[in-house]
Amino acid sequence: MNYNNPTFWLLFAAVYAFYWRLRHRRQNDLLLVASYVFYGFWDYRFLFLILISTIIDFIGGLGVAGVELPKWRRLRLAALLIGSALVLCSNVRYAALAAGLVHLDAHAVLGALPERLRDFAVPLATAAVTLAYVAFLPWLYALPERARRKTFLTISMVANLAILGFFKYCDFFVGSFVNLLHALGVQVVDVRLLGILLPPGISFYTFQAMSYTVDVYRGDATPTDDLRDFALFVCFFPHLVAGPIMRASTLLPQVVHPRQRRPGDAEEGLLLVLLGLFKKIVIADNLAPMVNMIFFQYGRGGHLPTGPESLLGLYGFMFQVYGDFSGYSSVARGIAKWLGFDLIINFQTPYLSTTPSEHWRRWHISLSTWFRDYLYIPLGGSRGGMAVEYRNVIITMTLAGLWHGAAWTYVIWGAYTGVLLCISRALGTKEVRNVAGQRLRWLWRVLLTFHLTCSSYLFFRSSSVPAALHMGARILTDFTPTATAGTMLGLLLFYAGPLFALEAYTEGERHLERLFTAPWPRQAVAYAYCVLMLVIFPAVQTHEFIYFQF
Amino acid sequence: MSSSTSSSEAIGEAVAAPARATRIALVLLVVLCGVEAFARLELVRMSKEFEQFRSYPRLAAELAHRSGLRIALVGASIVHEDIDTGLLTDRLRAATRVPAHAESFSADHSFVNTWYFMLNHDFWQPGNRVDLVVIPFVGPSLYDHNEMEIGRLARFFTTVSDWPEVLRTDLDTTAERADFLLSNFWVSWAARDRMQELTFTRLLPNYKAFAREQQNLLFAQVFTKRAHRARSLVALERLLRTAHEHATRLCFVVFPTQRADWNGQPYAEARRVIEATGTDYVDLRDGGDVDTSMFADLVHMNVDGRAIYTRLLADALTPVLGPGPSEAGAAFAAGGAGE
Repeated sequence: MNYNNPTFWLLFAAVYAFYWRLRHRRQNDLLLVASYVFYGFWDYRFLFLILISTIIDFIGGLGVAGVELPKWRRLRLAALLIGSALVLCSNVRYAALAAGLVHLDAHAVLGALPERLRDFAVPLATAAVTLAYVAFLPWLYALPERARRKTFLTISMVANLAILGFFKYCDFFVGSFVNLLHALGVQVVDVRLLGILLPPGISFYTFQAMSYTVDVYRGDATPTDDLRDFALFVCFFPHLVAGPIMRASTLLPQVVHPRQRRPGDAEEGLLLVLLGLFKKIVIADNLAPMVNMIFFQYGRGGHLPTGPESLLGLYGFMFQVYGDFSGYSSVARGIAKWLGFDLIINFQTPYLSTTPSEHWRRWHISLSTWFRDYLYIPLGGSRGGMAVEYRNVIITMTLAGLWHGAAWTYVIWGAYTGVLLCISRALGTKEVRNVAGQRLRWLWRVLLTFHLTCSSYLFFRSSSVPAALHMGARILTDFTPTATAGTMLGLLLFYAGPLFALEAYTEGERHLERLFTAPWPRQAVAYAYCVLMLVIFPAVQTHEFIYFQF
Repeated sequence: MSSSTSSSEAIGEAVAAPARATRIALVLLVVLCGVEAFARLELVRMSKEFEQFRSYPRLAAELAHRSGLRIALVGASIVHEDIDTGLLTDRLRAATRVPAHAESFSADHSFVNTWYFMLNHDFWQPGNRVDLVVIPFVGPSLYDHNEMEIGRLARFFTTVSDWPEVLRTDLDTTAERADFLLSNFWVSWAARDRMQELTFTRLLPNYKAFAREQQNLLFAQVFTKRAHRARSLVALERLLRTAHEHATRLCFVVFPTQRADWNGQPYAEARRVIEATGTDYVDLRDGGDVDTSMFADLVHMNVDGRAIYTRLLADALTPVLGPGPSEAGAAFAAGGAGE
């Protein structure tokens, strides 16, 4: 369920009304139920995937730490997993079943139950795998420490990557393989893609669950032996589907220990929610039609926009994706504040960066650092000479591209970004600070970095690689000014300009206190502006958060 | 990496003074009230469309009191863009030898749900009977689940007594229902798209042309993405049933557009439901390629097209202007379209 949906706020209000009246243990239970309800609104069957990730990493974390679960707990976990598979994945029509039971209509009850044996394929397969795993657990516990730690870690990695790989990349790899065979002249019999529905936010929660086991393995996090606490760590609803991706060392202690209402949290939370909704509803959703219009024309062929129109469409996308994603993160942080949690700042005015490396330290910080800590550094990082470092950068960024989506445009976007980072490192570009004496140099570098980032986002947004190249060529070779371009520029400045200025003033969300400590008339103007824009200038059509698909 | 999570302590100290929060809240309240006052007092006067909506009850009453053939044209922008009422009445008068009067009741980008409430508001009132209500339509207008302009529906075409019906039948999601209820109390919210339009047409000279171009392209994009699917006709059935209860004679008329998907749409289910009530259904599309020289944009006609299709409409309406609703209509009103 989206933050831009009133139903979310109604349910959240209901949760919040009880939350601070409960004791810590009950607060966690309430948050766990709320998280599952919010996520289940998309499709309740997806809850099963979260539960698998949760249980595997729960056992994995404890196994790595050498904590042996007693037999009765292992059996209880197995029963939970098999029972959930039965309830969530056996194609029972629950609404019809409930109606049949209420009306004592045996025919309706039978009609609501699954008809074919294959409706039980997922529960049966789950039961087989789970029982095998539970049977093997004593044997795994008995392994020498080093082997045991590695085995539990490997099981966690393989299981999470298998879930992610199947649900997100299966069709992509099968389709690409078939295309490759066709290109090589091999005519394969008709291969039917599975058409798997992508569970929202799967990349976020599997990465978070995976990092927990790795952190426990490295000694960076202490495992919890309370399944409910761990489940809440994995599925905490404010950030569940679009981040920030939280580390166990940061979030888990906040789950485990009692939380307190701190002065300033309510106000900061309100401001973050307001700013986040503004970024999503006013900026991202209003720029979406303009961006879609330009990119759609390159996708379908025929009449094409001029160079300036295309460039403004690309600028529009830069602000749309920023508004969308950082808006979600802001709302997530604001809601978490209201509940007594601190989530990390995920964006820090990335478009004011002066080098590509700096951009990636300010953009989607939780993902960049995830890839740095769990991929780039294990690959060798910058140790081993320049060639190895560049190889690692390109591998890391290419996989980051693939993380964003199962399409070649994302892969190329990632690889291209990696090349930009390597060039920047090879040239030894240093960050420039916005201080007296070098403001012009700073501005030039900000503009240069912004445009280099724009060039990479051409691939990110385009429907195909040829469409991206075509659009790039158009931007570089056609300079025809048009009235449409003027209008697009006006809309871009109208929607994104003032907030961009405000963010420059508060350095994103890093120094929000500057707004709170400003003279009250200035604060009033800022609030009035945000509220008025939300009331009068929300987009006519609401759009899903872009990052839900990742 | 910045693992910074908050500047709560500094914020906590800053917000400690409640007087500051009160002042800010007061400023917010004043600003919102100011905008509301502008919307209530000025915006309706500045918006031609809003003025037009406000005039409908009076126009409906005037039309009903005319002598001769009284024809109401109810629908979306097609009504005023594709039909010349003067030409229509002249041609009908010539054909029937009876004085004819026609009046347009349109709301741009409206659908069958809104038309129902327009009829309810303006014609299904004591003394406001007309001889024929013509409903020209294109695209998916007769089907349910179109994206309605909810603010307009709330402010101009419904009253409190319609709320249960609107919330039950016309609005599908909590977001839409909340939007409708808010719009009833809060004009600034209900008229936000008009305020946007007003702002941008003043700030950006080319805005209207840009918006039209954008809309056309996005229409095309949606069409490439969205597969045709069966859609329900609950609102249409309600309109037909209520029209029969009020003995209102209807005639649905399909107009051609430049959109191939709309021109090719057979409307089989809608037509079956309409004709089951004995209501007239006229299709002005010839089924083949349309003459693009008659159109001002993808959907609407230019002056030449309007003249041609108004004549065609008059010719199609002439035989329709006969006896009242048939027995099939009575059966439908009693038991629904499928029975």
